[in-house]
Amino acid sequence: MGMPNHRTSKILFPIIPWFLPVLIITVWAGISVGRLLPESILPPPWTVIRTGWALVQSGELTSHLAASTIRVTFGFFLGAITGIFLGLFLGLHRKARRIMKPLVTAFQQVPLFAWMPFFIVLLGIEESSKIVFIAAGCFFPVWVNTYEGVVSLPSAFKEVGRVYQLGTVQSVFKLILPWSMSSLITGLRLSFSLAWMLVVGAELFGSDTGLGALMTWGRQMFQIDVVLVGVLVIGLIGILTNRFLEVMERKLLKWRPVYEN
Amino acid sequence: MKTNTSKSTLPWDKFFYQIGISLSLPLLLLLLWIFLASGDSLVPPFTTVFATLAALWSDGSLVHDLALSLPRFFFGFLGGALAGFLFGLGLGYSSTIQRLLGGTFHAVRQIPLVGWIPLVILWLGIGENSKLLLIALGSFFPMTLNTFAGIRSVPHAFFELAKIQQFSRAQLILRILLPAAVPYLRTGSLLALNMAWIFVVVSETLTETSGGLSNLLTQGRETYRMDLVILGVLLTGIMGFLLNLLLKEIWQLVLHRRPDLITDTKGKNDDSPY
Repeated sequence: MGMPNHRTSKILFPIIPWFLPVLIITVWAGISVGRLLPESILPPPWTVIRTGWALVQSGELTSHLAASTIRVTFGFFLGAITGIFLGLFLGLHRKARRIMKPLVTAFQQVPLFAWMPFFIVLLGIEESSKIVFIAAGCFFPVWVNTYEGVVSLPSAFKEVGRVYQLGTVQSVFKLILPWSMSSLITGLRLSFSLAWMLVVGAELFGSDTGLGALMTWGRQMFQIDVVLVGVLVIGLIGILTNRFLEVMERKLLKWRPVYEN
Repeated sequence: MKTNTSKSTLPWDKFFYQIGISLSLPLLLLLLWIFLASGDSLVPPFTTVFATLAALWSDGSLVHDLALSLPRFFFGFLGGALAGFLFGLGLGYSSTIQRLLGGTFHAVRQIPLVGWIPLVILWLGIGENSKLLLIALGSFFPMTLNTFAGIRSVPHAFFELAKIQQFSRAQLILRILLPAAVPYLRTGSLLALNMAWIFVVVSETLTETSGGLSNLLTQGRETYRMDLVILGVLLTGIMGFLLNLLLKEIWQLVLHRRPDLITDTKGKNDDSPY
């Protein structure tokens, strides 16, 4: 595995990862210039950019984005809070764990999207079914990670709590939550990025607003440029939230010496 | 020779106690359901769901739906997992491939797969092809990530051993890298299977074609028949669970001589759940 030429590889090294994206865009542009595919199948990149810009200027994209964001926010908080509480509760009480864990595990077996028709029939096609659906999805990673964090509390910590005669509330805030913080934050991070994909999924089931609705509209009108704008925006949001949450996670866990592994 | 080793170390009374406790809440919910069901379509009585199940079974539509969903699942999963395995192997084995394709792969991975659905439908239509592609994509990403992680987990000493033994590239891959990565491959394939099943449901419900197990869900939603929806939820859940169990058993069979390799590595499916 020797490097063929040190100097060329030094120049090439940082730009190698860009080969593929540049190649894809070049091929895409080439297809458009050479008219190899009809524009209704693959519109040229510049048309997609122009459409995206037009959607931003008309305020359409922003209003759809806002509708999705509101759903994500409500759903995420609802799911995360329930997840934290259940994780803490089951982590702390062995008996409650025995009674409830099999049921939660059983619910987890169902593919998330199978719940969407259930919520639609139960709550109607409007806002509430979407929010509950997102919340249900966000719930699982948070509950699992909180629970595992709480359960992994070393017995030495429990003894410290006993020595200091901490009450339940105190030991939750002083020992258990700080201990399980990294696991909890991982759960929150997972469920937040999950929320962004669930909202799009929920909107694809039928909605007038939101990114999923915009894309469904584009699909039904055979406006593939609108669909591509949707994919790009969703991808951008995915990448940005992941980056943001990773930075947040690192910042929030800086005080923990244990985190350095 | 190990003979007569019983798996369960629990005494029988404790065993029954635990079973009883695990079942207490589901039983309670079942009782609540039976007593509270008002008889309207929103909360159908327990018996209605059973009657619907019996009807679907006896007129053969359940078998028909399964006969549509399972091949979709099988071929999509196999294609996606195989592609993911090969790609993950490439990424893990060759630093050039990793350098060339890794960055783009990780960027694309962060786009929620659900976001591709309208595009896939536009390009491939609502028929079988788009479903297969979506199912395959669902299983591709976790398999790639875990194969990659598995190859990367191989200790450096193993490579040195291969050098001393003057192994060829094929020997290095087949006799060292893959066996060493087996726990990861197992985890990856199980995650990929879960994703594949999820995408069977997603693709069937969102491509708006009838046929398949998710038919129950779509029909129930459109006609507001909760009994169908509940059956759909139950059956997709049970099927997913059984498929997962089946793959676990297959791995058990494959690794019957090396049960120590059946460990749960933490799944590398982290930042892009779907």
